[in-house]
Amino acid sequence: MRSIFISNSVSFLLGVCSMKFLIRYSILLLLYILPFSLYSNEQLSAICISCHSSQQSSYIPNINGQPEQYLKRALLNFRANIVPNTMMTRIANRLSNEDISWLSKYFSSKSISFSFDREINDHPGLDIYNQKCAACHQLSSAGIPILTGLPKEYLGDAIDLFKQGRRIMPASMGYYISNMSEQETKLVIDYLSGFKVVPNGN
Amino acid sequence: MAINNNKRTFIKALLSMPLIGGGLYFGLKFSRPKIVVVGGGCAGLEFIESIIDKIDVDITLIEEKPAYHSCFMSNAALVEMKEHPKIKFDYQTFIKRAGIRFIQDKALSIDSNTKRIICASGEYVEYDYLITAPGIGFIYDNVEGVSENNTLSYPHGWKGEQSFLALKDKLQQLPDGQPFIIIAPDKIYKCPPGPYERAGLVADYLRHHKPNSYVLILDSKSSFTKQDAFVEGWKKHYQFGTQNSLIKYLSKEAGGQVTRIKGNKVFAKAGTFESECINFIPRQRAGDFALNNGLTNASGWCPINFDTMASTLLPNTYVLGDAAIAGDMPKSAFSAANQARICANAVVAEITKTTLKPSVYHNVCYSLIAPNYGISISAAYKRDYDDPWIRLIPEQTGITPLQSEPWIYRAESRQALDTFNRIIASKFNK
Repeated sequence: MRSIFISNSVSFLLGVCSMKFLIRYSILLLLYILPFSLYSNEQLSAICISCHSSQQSSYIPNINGQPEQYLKRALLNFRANIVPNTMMTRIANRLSNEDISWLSKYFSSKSISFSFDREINDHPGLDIYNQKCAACHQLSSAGIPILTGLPKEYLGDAIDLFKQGRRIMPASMGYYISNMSEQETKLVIDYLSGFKVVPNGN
Repeated sequence: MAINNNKRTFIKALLSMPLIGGGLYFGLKFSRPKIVVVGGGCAGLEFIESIIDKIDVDITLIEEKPAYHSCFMSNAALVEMKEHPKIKFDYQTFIKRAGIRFIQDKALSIDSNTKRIICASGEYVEYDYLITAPGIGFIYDNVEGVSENNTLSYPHGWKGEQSFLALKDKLQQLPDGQPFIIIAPDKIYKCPPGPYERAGLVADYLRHHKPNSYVLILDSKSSFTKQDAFVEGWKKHYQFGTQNSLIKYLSKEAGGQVTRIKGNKVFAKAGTFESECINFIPRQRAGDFALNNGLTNASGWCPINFDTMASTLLPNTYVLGDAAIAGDMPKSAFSAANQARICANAVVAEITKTTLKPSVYHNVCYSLIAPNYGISISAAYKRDYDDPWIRLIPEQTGITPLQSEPWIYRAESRQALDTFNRIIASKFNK
């Protein structure tokens, strides 16, 4: 479909431009064709989505719609073996800088929303989230990950790693995390993992 | 005049190009390429999902069974591990969602002259491109006393529901004190870590249900995949290597090669073992459909073009998944799905007459050793044009490191489930 559209449009452009114009528009043409003829990044993303889905999962986090800077940082950290996670360390090992940039951009551009099947406003975790997490984690554009809808065990392990100082975090986050009781942590995780990620049809 | 002529040509060109393009589009739309997929396993279904996203084609799936029975996660289902996923799925939801034609029939033969597939019912289907994912078949030639006729007495549990249920029944009926004997095949076979994952999960089951029984692995090989990680896990969970071990392992060198099975007795080089539950996993080859239609070579597997997955033996025919000789890639669901997507790209490039972009070859495979304890391998492969093979890249490949922290093994057991849901179960979701 796409290629028919391209060949159609290209031939249309060619028809419009006589040889004189062709040279003039050659750069434009090149730009038009280029994104479709480079190395197939789509296949790289297929490796990711063989495990990362936007459907409910028991551990593997949703990466769709996460901020580009966050995804990029995460992949770079996995590759540099800074974040302990054996599978992702091994997969990131095969990615070039260009691959990482492209994948981060690709998955961040996916649009998602969230749904929940229970009365989330009554959830005791909501208040704790609003007081201690939301100020930064609602600002997804700043390269801070969206926590909503992440799996329970994944969040639990991540928080443990933060507490042990083995995942890098800003000082403010260190403050909030170290001042959160076990019960509070549990409630926040329960609240966040109660959401379902819903892809917006792209 | 000259200017006018130019103008006229210009306007003509302006008007005609979209018309030609449009005509081309509608022409293609009404004579959509006919793609027939034989075999509704992971590879066949992934191919269909992948290609319908890219191009408008007419797809027919031919599959003998009304439901898919997964090999992935079947060891967890065999021992009814807590929270084990459902492994049997009806094709109907997939068919409806993908909007394809489904023929529940046994594909028998390929007529490559008339481009037809002839089914057991006598019906035939025409194709422009034939995608085959025929899976595996078994060879019963190296162990005396077992054949296709009595395979259910020594169920492999390696393919299909019938054998799986027979094995499950034998496990549950196993008298306490007798070993659960796994006879592991020599390379090359489907799911290389499968026998060893089964050993761990069955050992866990025996501990709870038959405390005097143990698992005995009789192997025709000298070593197996992820062996160090498996052995480490077995030591942690099943006292492997001690007198009380719940798993006993005899490699080829230790006399694990089996020569004969008679009744409840297994005759191996190391001695004779007795059990009412003998899990004999035979040597393997490509499925019958591949064998009967000239898709296999002397190795019993199907040679393919590594860039497109096209058969090197039959025109307009592609081979995906377990049946194919895919270089260093193992016979796993993840590999099959990877190959299916590569093939979909190749078929699209062929139909649209565009250049095929280089492919990404990757495999990920999780194995459970006990409930909440998993290990994994991630492997990268490359295609070099002067090297006729899909070659493993060792420096970009790795197994769960030994002596990892406990949370990592737990996390990997969860990731195994997620990956199963992603590449198998989600295909059958509404």
